[in-house]
Amino acid sequence: MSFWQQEPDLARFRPILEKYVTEPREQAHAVSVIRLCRALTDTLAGIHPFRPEERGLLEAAALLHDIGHFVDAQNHDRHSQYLILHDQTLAWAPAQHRRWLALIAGGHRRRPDLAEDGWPDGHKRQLQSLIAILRVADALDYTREAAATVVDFGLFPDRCEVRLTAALPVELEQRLAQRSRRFRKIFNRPLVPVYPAESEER
Amino acid sequence: MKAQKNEIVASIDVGTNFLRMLVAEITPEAQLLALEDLFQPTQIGRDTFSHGRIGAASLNQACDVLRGFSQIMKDYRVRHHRAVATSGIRESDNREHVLDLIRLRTGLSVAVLNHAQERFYHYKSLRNALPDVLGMRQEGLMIMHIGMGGVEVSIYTGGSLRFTQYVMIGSLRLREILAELESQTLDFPKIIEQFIESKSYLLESEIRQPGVRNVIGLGSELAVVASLCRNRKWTLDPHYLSRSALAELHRDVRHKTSEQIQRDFSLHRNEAEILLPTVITLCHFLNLTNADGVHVPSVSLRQGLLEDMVDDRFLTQRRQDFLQDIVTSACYFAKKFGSDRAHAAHVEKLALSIFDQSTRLHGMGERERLFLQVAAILHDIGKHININHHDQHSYTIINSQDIMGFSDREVAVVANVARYHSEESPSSSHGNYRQLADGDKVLVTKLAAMLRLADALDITHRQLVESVDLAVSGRELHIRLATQADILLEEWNFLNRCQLFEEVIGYRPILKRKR
Repeated sequence: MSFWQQEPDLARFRPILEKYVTEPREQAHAVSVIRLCRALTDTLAGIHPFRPEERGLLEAAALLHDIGHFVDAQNHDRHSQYLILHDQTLAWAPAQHRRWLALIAGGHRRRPDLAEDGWPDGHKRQLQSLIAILRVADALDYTREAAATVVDFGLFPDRCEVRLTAALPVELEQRLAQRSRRFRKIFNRPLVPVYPAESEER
Repeated sequence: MKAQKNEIVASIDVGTNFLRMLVAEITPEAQLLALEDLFQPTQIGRDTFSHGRIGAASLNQACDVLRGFSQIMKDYRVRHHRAVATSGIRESDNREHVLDLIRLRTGLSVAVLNHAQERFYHYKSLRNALPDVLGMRQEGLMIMHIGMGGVEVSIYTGGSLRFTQYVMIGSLRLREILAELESQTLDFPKIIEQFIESKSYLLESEIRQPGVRNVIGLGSELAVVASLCRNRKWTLDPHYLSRSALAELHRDVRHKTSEQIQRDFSLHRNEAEILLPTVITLCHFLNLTNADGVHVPSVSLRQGLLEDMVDDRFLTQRRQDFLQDIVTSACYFAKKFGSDRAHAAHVEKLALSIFDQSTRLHGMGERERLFLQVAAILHDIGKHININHHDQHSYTIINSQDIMGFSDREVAVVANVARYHSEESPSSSHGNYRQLADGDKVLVTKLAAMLRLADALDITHRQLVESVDLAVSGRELHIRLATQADILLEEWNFLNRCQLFEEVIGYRPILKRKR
C-alpha cells in the first residue's frame, strides 16, 4: 500500500459524514465504531500488524460505513460504497484511496466483490482483514449503546476476548457471533465476549 | 365510463401468513358489495423468513388453496380478478419458480408487489374506510402498516408526506428471526422490544417531532388486536384502540406462550403466534408519538385492489387524488435530495406540455405521462451526489427508492428516463438499459427524448421559456416558445438535444419564437 504515505486526517472526512448523517446518535455511532476498530487493531498488532495508513483507512471507512442510509436503508452498505466512490465532497481523495474506502465500508454487512476489480492477492488479504474488523466493531455497537460497555480486547493463543462491563443483550450476542465468523477465520481465533465475573475468575 | 350492470370481480392476496380472496360486485354506482371473503393459513412467510426459500410442502398447500379460489371464481363467473403476492414470496430465493408453479397448477398469474405498491392499495382502501384521513394528514398523521415481513411508517404534516420508511420488523419475521432466543431467555418480550428498537432507531427522531397528532394502524393482525380489546371491553369502538386498551392487552399477552394465547383468545395458531410481536410493535411506535390512541380501520390489501379496479373503471375523483399522491411522493424525494424545486417544476410543466401536445405522434397514454412527470421531478436529484455524471447518479438514487404506487419495473422505467435526460443516449452497452424489456426500452427512449427537450429549455434554471406551443408541419414539429428574455443558451442547448426526439418520434423539432 505504498500509495498512501501517511495516515489520513479523519477531519477531512467529516463533511461527507455530516452531509448524509444528520442524527447526532448516528454520528456518535460512527465515532464509537472508530474507537472499537482502533482498539482491535492495537490488540491484533502482535499477530497481524497494520501500517498506519491501513489503520487510517479503516477508521475513515468506520466513519462513513453507514452514510448509505440516506439513500435507502435496506441496501445501505451498497449505497455507502457508491457514495464514497462518487460523492463530490471526497473529490480531494485520490481514486485509489476511494476504492479502498468504498470496499471496506461497503463490506460491513455483506461479502465484498473483490474478484471484479482485479485486486492483487496481497491487497485482497489486507482488505479482508480490515473488513472483518469493521464488521465486528459495527456489530458491537449495533444497538448504539453497547459500545459503551466494551472495556478493551485481549488476545490469547486460542481466542480474542471482548471485555465488557455488562452483559450484551442476547440478540446482540447472537449477531456478534454471526458477524465475527470472518474474523475468526482470518485471525484464527474466535471472538469471545467476557463479562466482569468471568474476567475475575480468569 | 359507467358499467351498465353489476360486475363480479375478485382479488387474491397470496400473503405470508394467510391466503385470502375477496369476491365482490361492482355496482353501476361505483360501489363495492362484498360477496365472499375467504382465507386459509399458509406457511409461506415462515419458510421465507426462516430458510430464505419456500419449501415444497408449503407450495403444494398454497397451490391447493389457490386452485380452490380459482374454482370459486369460476362458480361466481368472475370477469376480472387480480392476484398479488407480498413479502413472503417477494423475498424468497425461489420466487420465480414458485410463481411459475402457481401459474401452471392454478392458472393464476400472481404479481409480486413491492411495499410502495402495498401501501398504495392499502391507502385506497383506507380512503373509503376513514374518509377523514385527508383532514388528519393536514393536522399531522403517522400511518404505520404492520405487515408480516416489515413495518412501514409514513408521516404527513400540513397535508404532505414528510417521511416514509420501511423497516424489516414485520410480526412474522420477528417471530421467526428471534425464535431460537425464546428458549434462552425468561423475558422474550424484552428481546423483541430490543430488536425493534435496534432496527427502528433511525425513524425515532422523525416520529418524535411534534405534530403527529393522529395515528392510523394498518395490517391484518390489527383487526385481531381490535377485536380482542373489544371482547374484553377495554374499548367500545372496534376501530379505535386507546393507549390504555393497548396497555391492558400488552400486560395480558406479555408473558403468555403462543399456545396460551391461542387457547385464551380462541385464535388460529398463525394468528396467535404473531399477536405478541404485533402488540409490542404497535405500542413501541405509538409511544413515540403524542397521540391518544390508534385508529384501526377495517382495510385490507384485497379491498384496496378492488377499489383500484373501481377507480380505473369509473375514473373517480379518488383516482385523481391518488395520482396526485404519487406526484407528492416524488416531490418528497426531490426535496430530500436537495433538488432545485423551481427548475424541476418548470421542466415538469414543459415536458408534460410537449407530451400532451404530441400524443398523436408518440401514441402513449396516461400512465406513461405519469412516468414522464415523475422523471421530470426527479431528473436532477443525482446532483446531490455529484454534478458530474449526475444523470447516472439520478438513475441510481431513483432505482433505489420506493415510489408510492409504482412497481419495480415502473421505478426502473422512471429511473432510466431520468438517466437519459442529459447528454448520453440509451445504449445496449449500458447495463441499466440492457436490463429493460424491449417494450420498455422504446418507452424509456421516447420519454427521455421529451424530457431532454424540456430540460434543454431551462438549462439556465431561470425559467425564461414560459410555455411551448407545438404544431406539425410535414416531418417537422414546430415548437413555438413564449418568452421575453434572451434565450440564446436555451436555443443552443435545444439544438444539441433534439436529435434523439427526431430519431424516436420521427419529427424534427424546430424552435420558433412566438411573436
